[in-house]
Amino acid sequence: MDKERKIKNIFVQGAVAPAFVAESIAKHSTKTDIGAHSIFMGQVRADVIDGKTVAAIEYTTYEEMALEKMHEIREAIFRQYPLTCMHIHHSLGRIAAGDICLFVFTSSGHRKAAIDACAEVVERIKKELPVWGREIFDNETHQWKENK
Amino acid sequence: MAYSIRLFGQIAEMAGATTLEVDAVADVQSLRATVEARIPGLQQLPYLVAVDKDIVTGNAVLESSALIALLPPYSGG
Repeated sequence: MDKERKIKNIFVQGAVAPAFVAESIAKHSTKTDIGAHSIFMGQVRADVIDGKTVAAIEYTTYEEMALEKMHEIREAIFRQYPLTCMHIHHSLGRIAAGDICLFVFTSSGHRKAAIDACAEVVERIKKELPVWGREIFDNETHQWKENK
Repeated sequence: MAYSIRLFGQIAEMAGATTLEVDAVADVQSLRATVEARIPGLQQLPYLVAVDKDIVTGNAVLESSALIALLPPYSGG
């Protein structure tokens, strides 16, 4: 394992493309100590609220703080689980319903570490990162998303 | 000495700006009273105060160099 990990940028402008997810998986075929991958993808849901349908979510962040917090979470997860690697991509800007806005990818020698680490990272991202989603309805009104 | 406070998400929308200039205050509790008087509706929102990119729980003395931000409830992912 790397002893010193740099602060990585997890933010991407716009949606996470399915092809990017596929390429990310393909890149790991040379790492033959990996026996398990776990992937979580968040997709923008077209909720219907008071007769209006969510057309998109617009994400903003306090980037400097979010990246520091994500670094802390990453370090804690690597201490807790025997992972080979972990990749996180979170969208910013306007993401249309049906598009991918969060991609978390963990890999390990055996399945349990990858699965448990992936689930924990997703929970911690939702609870601890200063990121905000504004749900934009089909008539261009909006409301602020709440994490449940 | 004054603070230029960074505003995010719903709070930036309520204030109609992404920063708020506030005269020096002694601590986070006074800061909360000051910004709640300046931004209508803020008092009803369970917001967090970040000082130098760390969440302050309870009260804390504010240094003149403090980097302050007001954070509405998170909704990432």
